[in-house]
Amino acid sequence: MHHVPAAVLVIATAMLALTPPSAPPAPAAVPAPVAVPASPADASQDGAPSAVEPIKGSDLDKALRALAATSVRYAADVGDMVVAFPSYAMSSARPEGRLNILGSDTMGPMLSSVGIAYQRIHPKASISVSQGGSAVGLAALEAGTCDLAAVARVVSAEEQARIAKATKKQVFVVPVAQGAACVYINADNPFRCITRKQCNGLFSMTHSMTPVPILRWSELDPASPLGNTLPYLYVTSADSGTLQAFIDWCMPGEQLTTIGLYTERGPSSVVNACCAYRDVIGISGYANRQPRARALPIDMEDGQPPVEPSVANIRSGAYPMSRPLNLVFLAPDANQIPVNVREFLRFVLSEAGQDTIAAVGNIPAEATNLPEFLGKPVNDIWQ
Amino acid sequence: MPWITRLRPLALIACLAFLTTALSVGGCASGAPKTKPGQGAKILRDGRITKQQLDELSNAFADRYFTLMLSASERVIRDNQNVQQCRIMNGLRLLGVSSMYDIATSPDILTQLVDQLVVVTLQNYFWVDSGRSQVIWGERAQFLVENLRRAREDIWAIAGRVFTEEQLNELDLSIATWWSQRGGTEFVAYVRFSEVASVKGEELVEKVRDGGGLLEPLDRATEQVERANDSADRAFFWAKRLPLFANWQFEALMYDIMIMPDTQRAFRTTDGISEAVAQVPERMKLVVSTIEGAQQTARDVVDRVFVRALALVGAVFAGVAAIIFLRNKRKA
Repeated sequence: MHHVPAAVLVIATAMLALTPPSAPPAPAAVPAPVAVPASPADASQDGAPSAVEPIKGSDLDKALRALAATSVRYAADVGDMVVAFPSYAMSSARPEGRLNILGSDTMGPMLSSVGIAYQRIHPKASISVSQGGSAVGLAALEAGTCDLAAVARVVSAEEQARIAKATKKQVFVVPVAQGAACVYINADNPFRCITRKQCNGLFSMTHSMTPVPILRWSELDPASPLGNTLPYLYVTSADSGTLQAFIDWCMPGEQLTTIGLYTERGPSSVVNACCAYRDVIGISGYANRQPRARALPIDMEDGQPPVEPSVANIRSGAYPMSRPLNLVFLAPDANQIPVNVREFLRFVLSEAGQDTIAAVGNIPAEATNLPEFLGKPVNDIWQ
Repeated sequence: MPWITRLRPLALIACLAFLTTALSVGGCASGAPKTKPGQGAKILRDGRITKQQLDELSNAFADRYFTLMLSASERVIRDNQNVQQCRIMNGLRLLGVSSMYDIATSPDILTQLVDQLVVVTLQNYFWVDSGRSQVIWGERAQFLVENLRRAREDIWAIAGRVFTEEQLNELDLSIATWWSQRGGTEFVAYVRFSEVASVKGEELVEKVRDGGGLLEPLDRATEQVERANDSADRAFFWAKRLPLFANWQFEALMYDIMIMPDTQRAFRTTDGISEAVAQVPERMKLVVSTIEGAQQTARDVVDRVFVRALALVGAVFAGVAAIIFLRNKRKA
């Protein structure tokens, strides 16, 4: 039995001895040389040689440039809103240690980006952002396992009272941005707008607003090219504040249907499904919009044109599923707010913080409505 | 020229096969019998999946991704007169699939999974969400975007067997944050988790490695030895798929030639046809030299993988020899 390994040992040792000592250590698999594009000029677009600049003046070139222009998610009308916020200057307080933020999936990338910017200013502070849903964030805040809860919906007075009673602390709700729950479909789907009743008929198990559930595209729009196809429904988890805002609007107190319903990992995955599949309807946040998914205008059935989910309509509240994006924390009172919480909130509500928020697709908060417990900016500077 | 390149690939593979067979017959340094394909299907008592299962899932996903890309690219390329569209599609599948096999043959199974997760998710952001596919391929893009989405669903389902809900949320957030700060990054096929992950993300993977997820804990003490055993398998995995890349590389070259302005001009004018014909010998020289280059690259890849596998196997045998020697000495 030992003959074979022994023989192999001899062979292997002999071959190893023959290996030149200068031979460089090779990686386990090196496919790159095979896959490298033919010329350096082609090295672009993830294997799509020269997709950005295919041939000068070609139609494709123009189309891709136009696409890049429309893909800019930082809306021009948001710029004025950002500069209305005070600048941030470091105060004498030097925040240190870890600040745990837990909650909304919609707010996750936004808060992570703000956290990265904040840590550049305060290197001794650490911002840890975790997502899982607004409800998870509030539960963690109540349990004392996070410092700030990210909640992408209105925090009701009842909820605040319950948490205050349970923790014997005051609940502070700080709107840091504005958002909305949107109904997304594929960009190629010609369906124009949706009503509250239709949403109820699609998503509610008990469909209280329609006599029968809506199970075909033709029932939404008789002219739909998708005909009798089932509209597949994509949502995030039940803990999502975005989904809760949608439920509160069109099916309060009702259960989600189980027919053709898919629960996705996060809001970006919901929109991704809408971008890929033509027969899909998804519920996700305004900040998750993408060129290949169209957020449907809402027909209020009041004889007026449907309401677009635009910056102006969301800010004014004309869009029905508008909601604030909040950071919630607990403190004994307004004079005993922890330094690291106060400094982080000041940064979030500064020009730099709001600029970061807008850069990841969100709508800035209201600059005229800064919370008093953060102090007053002097000469338009937090200090 | 290194001595190893003088050997023919078949001879190398035969030699490697011999070593692998010998290893499996004679037992390995870890003392545990090597798991045969399919044995990884056993489920641990607490519902965790085994290292072998994850390895099989990762390799299977790489092949599934290849199938998805191949079918989608065929839809785009077949009967398509637009050379530019064909060229971009060929480039996409070439880099995408080679990246996926590169990941699948990397030595650390947990890194394999998170890297596959990152690449497929970013490809969806870049090719599906942005509308870039439709701009480039029009109606033909639909099959591609659906297949990329399916790949995303598959890899997240696999990740769901390894990571907890909370850990999946962390991964999702890491990728989304990275993308939100670098939207439009073009080389998504070669972005890896180490680049995307914050310190927190790396901590998360280390935690799972130690059993803090749904994967059985990886024994760091025997990990190196196990990697040595796996190297031969990985070399075979790559070697089997290399001819495919040579074909696609050749197609890439063909499209590059066809898209050249002078070639285009030649095709457009009647007089240019004779000019194009006159250029054929020069073009063919280029084609031949590039094919030779591709073949050489393929040989180099096999050689390098082989040398590394050989070194690891040698190290294992040296260890075995030392153990036998010490045992015999103790008996004596």
